[in-house]
Amino acid sequence: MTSFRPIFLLLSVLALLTAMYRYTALEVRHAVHFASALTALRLHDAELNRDLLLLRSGDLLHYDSVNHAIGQIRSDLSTLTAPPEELAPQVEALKRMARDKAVQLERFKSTHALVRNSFAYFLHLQAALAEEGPVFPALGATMLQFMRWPDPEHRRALSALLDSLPAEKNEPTAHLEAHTRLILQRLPKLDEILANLLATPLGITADRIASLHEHRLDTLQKRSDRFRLGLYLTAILLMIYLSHALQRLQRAHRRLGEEMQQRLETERQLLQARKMEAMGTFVSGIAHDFNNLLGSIRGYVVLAQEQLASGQSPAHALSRIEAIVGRGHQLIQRLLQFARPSGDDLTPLVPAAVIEEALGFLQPTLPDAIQLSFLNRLDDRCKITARAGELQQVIINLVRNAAEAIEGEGKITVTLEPASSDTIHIRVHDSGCGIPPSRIEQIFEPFASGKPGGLGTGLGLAIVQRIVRDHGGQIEVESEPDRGTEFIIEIPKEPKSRSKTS
Amino acid sequence: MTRITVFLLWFLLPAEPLFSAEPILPLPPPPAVSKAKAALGERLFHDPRLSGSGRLSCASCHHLDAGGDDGLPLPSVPTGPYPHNTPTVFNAAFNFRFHWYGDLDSLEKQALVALQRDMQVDWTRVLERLRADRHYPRLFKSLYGVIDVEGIIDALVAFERTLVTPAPIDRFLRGETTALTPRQRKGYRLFKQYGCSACHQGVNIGGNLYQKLGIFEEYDTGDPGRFAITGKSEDLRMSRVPSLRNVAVTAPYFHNGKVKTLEKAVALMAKYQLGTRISKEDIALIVDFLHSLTGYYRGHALDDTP
Repeated sequence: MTSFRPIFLLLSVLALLTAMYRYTALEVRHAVHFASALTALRLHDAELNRDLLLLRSGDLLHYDSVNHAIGQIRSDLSTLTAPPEELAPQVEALKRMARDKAVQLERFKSTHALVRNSFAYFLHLQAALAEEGPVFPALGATMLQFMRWPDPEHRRALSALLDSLPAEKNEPTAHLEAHTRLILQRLPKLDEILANLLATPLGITADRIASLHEHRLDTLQKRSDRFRLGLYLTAILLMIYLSHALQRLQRAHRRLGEEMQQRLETERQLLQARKMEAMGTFVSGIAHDFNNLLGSIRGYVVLAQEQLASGQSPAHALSRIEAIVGRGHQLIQRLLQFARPSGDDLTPLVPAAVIEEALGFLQPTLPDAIQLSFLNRLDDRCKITARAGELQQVIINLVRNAAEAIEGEGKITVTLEPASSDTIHIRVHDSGCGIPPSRIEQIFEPFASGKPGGLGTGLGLAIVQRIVRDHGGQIEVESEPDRGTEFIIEIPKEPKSRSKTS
Repeated sequence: MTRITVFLLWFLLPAEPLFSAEPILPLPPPPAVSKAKAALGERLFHDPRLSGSGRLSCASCHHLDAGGDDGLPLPSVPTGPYPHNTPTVFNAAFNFRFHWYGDLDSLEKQALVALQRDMQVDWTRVLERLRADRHYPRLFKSLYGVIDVEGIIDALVAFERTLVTPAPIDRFLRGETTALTPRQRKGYRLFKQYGCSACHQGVNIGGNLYQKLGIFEEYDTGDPGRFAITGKSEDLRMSRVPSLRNVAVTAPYFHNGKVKTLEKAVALMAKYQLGTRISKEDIALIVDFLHSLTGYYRGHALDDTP
């Protein structure tokens, strides 16, 4: 496998994404605002031009709408901030144009108001004077035409009518003439301003900028497409990397499983070997014991034959042989017991009674120098479910061991006490020689007897451990050389179901 | 949802002509202004601590219990003689420019200039005082976070936007013919016939264009008009056409405050802008009509006498 570092991959992906994010995100919003401001500006300019024409035609009688439109154009322009570099001069021109248009608009409004003012008063006077001569209605009609088409022809006609007025004028006629002359003078000016206003290429410029900006939007769109593609590829890259990492993980997992299997196998073999070793010790122990027994039997048989040959009674030798065979039998019994747990059943029993009975058996077999005592700290009603025979066997084995550990005077104390709510403790303490720390680990192994050859079967503690485990309990030993040993057995009052099946 | 409701309401509204042939427009519905901001603005509007001397508030020159002006020919401000009559603050939000010369284009700028030039505000001290006040910190905190100049101006402007005075003319323009008396209706017709409505039109009945004072006759008051700002000869004696809303309660008149009655003001306009003399009866009718422009503020008709 290639040995690339995942952290570098992740960092470069992160850097790539950050760059793309910074490069693309903000500009879209700005570009869209820019485009929409241009569109709005075009519309507001059209609105302004329309309202100017309505004002001129006399259909719109106030300036609020044109003020509103130019105000909107101003605010649209204020949105056109930070234009792209290539558009900056055009936007600047657009702003100049709009400022110019606003100035022109004020001139238009002032002039227009003057003209409308005079026109209104003209109509008022003309209507009042209509009865005073035919020139006045003619003046009114020509004025209407001139207001509509202020061309030289109508101007001439209007001027001619004014000239035809009598030299001696009454006040209203003089006013009429003054206002007509004002209109004659100002209307062409007004139309010139209006033409200028309408010709201001605000909308066209905005259009041109918008179409240039369109290119930028296209570029932006392409860039955003690339961004999406980049994201897509990055995602794929990460997926590939992840699946690769996953595969490696799976391989590692499989390898680990195999290794574990191998190790277990080795361990099993080791355990087998140790079992075989234990079996070897066991078998050689039995062989040795039997050999001793057979040796003793042969010795007594030889003795008996000699005594028979010499006419003496071989009774003593035979009784020895019988005793030895008895011991052999005992040995076989214990072997059988070790190999196959006795069949007696779990029954509720009072532990103190069972132990006292066992101690009763033991007492006579112990040397007088050994003092055996029993302490029962359990409630009299306390019962446990156990096999009585096996329990006695445990006590007998432990007390025998204890007695053998004592040379000369000593004390053995068996204590029965509660351990927890559902377990009890059986302690067997002696003041004997103790167990050397080097041996304490092996004392529960079969035929690891520490007793001088022939004295023990080497099965005692192994049987004890087996029985305790069968009852779902455990056994511990604490020992100090020359101070004594204490076996502590903890067994549950109710054995777990598991103990029966084992 | 809201949009649909508004749309439906628009259809359900009482028949209102889509195209009005009237030069004057009725007031639009009340502006959408935050009530809390307007309340704070009102407090500031009446607070003399905003001025350098600690004696002037906005309300010192814009009496809200009168016509929204000071009733004086020229205001008395500590900065010395002030050249122009105080315009009313009522409906000021509908003006397209501010001051007689129209040199400011937003309420915000007007408020700032009034505070700094006329009231000689010392911002550092004002901000300190307001921050030490019992009420302001709490009010500003919820609206602006901190007490600063922008917040003060914004609140003042928010309040000014609520200073709108619906008048009988608005009801008349919305179709309630009897909102104006017969004489007022006649006056309105004359107002249009004499061409007054050429300049005094729109929502604010003026306030939306510049015009020269003295068309048919020079009217030299020694005031250069917008020429003082632009330096263009065409702007000589040009000034912002004032709004006529509440004109009956904002005497004295004109930029120099020299004209004390409406009758004289109308006659003066006729003389200089129309080059004519209008009969006393017509003037009385027009003045009657001008009274229909006097609006209501908080349920009370505006009154000239504070």
